[in-house]
Amino acid sequence: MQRYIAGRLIQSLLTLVVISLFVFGLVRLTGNPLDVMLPLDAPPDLRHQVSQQLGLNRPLHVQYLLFLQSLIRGDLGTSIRTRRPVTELLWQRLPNSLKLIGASMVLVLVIALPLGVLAATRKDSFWDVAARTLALLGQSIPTFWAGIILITVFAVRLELLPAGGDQGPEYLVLPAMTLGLFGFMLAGVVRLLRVSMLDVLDSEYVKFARIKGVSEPAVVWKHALKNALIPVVTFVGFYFGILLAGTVVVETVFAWPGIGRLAYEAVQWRDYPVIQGVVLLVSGITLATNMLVDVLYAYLDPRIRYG
Amino acid sequence: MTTNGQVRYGESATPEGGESIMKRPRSWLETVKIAVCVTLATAWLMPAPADARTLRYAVTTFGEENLDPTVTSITASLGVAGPLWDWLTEVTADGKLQPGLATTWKPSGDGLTWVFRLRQGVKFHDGKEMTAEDVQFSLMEAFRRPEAKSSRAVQFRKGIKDVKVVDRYTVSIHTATPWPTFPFDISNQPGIEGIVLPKHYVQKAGWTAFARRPMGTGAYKFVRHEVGTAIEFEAFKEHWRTPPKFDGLRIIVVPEAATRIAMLKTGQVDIADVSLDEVPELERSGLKIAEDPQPTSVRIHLYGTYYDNAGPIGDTRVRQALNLAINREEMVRTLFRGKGKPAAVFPPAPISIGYPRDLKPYPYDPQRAKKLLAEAGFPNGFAIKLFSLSTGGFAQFQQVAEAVAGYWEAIGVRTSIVPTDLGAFRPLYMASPQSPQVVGQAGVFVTTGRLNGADDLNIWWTRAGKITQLANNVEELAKKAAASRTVEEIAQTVEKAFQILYKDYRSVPIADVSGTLWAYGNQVADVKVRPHRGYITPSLATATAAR
Repeated sequence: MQRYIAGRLIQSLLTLVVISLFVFGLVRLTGNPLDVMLPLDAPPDLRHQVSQQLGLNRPLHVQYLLFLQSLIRGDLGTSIRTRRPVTELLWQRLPNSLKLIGASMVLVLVIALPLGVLAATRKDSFWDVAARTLALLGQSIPTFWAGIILITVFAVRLELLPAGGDQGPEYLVLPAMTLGLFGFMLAGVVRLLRVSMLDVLDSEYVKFARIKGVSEPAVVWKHALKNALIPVVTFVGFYFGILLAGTVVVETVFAWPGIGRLAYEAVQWRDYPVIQGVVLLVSGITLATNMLVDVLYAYLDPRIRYG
Repeated sequence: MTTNGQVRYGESATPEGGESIMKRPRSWLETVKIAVCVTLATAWLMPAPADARTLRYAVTTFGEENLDPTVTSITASLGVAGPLWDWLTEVTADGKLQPGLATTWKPSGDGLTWVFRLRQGVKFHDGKEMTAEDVQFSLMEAFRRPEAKSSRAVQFRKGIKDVKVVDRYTVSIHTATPWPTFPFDISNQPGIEGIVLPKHYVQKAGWTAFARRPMGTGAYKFVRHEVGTAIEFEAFKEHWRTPPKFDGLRIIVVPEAATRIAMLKTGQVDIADVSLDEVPELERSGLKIAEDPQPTSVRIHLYGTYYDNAGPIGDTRVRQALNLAINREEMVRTLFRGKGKPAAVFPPAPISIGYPRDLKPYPYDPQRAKKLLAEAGFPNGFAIKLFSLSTGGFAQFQQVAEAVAGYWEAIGVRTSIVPTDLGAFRPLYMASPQSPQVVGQAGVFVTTGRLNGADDLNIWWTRAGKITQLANNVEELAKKAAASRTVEEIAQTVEKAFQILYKDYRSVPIADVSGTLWAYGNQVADVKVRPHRGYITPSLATATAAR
């Protein structure tokens, strides 16, 4: 197991280096930050001066090597837009995004677990169709539009929840609902759990448990669900990275100060160091999550062992 | 509350007169409300409304978010940190120059020295008095240091030779050449270079610390800054003018327009950036609209008209036709919702020095336009690209482009709209006029005019602007304006130049509109917006609280 984890760590580090090269090159194809930072009528002297100050006048390979050198020291550079260290900005914003993703995941699991189990145990019934329809509906509605509708209903019409910002736990409700219930996550968990449960419920050991006289709720919730959850855990783990990268829209709509909005602002301003920092952070977290999921596998299914 | 149980904005959800909900049939809306309350227990955690004495303003973006005004663009220095500053001189909404931190100013006979007498008793936010040394520090060091990149840092670095402290409240400013508009150039309208920074604080703390915790003489003092999220200020009770009516000010970033409006309607914020499109809905909701006193100039640039390879637009008759094809009145009435007026020239605003007041907008005459095209050898029209350059702050670039394309198509000019943004267009623009992708084509453009019309003349129309030269026959007049000794002489010269450009149909001015708007809710009685290049933050000190 330890050898496996060490191997995965080295593999992840190499992946991160490749990603750093890609993001460094690709971000520079989007344009020069000076074109956004300076007014159109900025004199050439000023352009030259600012370019020098930001180190943008150096050859690309020199810029990349300097970036790597700093990266090894844990320094992601300084934001061109705010002149603050990128690591400081990331640490300020990351907890907010994690809070949002965590809340949306809890919401999804609270809704999707009973729905998925219900759909599987009452296959082809009204509940099955309703669960699948609900999942499909959530998946079909764009998060941007869903966010605006939730604001209109819960903030403007009912005056129950704040429309945007981050000044307390109640501010988390609407963005978490938007992120969790709309998009692929709820639909994915419900469908995956349904299929997985159907499979498990049909297996020999479940049949044996029933023959032994174990009650149906115990069969479903104790014996079947644990095994049926394995693909769901993989999916949720895999989806964590997608959610982190996909918070851009929700965080922008709800003025939620997370990583997504930081990335949105950085792209608008061609803030190279921040874009690089966000991509590396999201990639790192995705790689780490995937590794964690693999380790969790061993816990959920004792038959799985890494050598 | 309405008969169907709907709660209107501003009303309480509690029935009037203590009537019990249980005594009458429950409407569907109330049922939904109760269900939601139960499901979302967190809703009960809603805090009481924020302190009624804190003014809350929702902005689209903080832009470049460095609070040191010497190293940032105008967006950061005015849009984010605007409440912190005061200017040496001030320009009113009708273009009149009046005292600010300086009470009087006088030029020397040779025009090379300005003597400014400062207001006594003005305090920085730490309680120290502002003196001539601070003015000397601001003009000679802060805005001239190598790192300085405020919009006119280069001009100030070259133009100011020395600043001498005459006494505690008097400074003499020595310029490299006569600078008759200097008092205007250090006012609130053109930019940030006229503010006074605290020498003692910067020298002790350093520029990095200053950027994290800035200090000025303005009506609000800095409290806290959450990068990309919010900035908070506290009223400066010892302000030399009138302390603000609100105890605090919180500016928050809300990028999405629909969310900003929802927050305004629900009282979560008091003021918000809005666009012309949203005005009818906001007014229907009972919200008030504040306009920038300085209009935004909307126009179509015609690139490289003086070059041999300019194609059809190199011909004056074609340019005249492109102008006569536009129904400006209609555009103002419909597209700009009546908040503006047809323009004859761009970009000087009516408050600019040298604004040509006598020029009338070109008439709408599509028949004559068609004849002119035929006379110029284009009876079947021609094809042209119209770049729609979105620079932010103005939401109607695409609509303007579509309207203009429609008018031009009607006279046979086949117009293809090319949507673009600053980052993508700038490289093409920088290469202009040589760039074949830009010369001979057109582009929607929007800016606010500068106070000194000579600056606009230089930047947009002459070689001095380098990247933006739109004509080549006003060079001499621009030089003459730059060398003028008096404001009157500048005004006359600039006006003459704009008359030539008007006669030559060098561009297609569309309208001077209220491009920058803000809506405010019930907590605010009024805001007097001063000309600050489209930013309201420095004017928020004038906001009065509703009773």
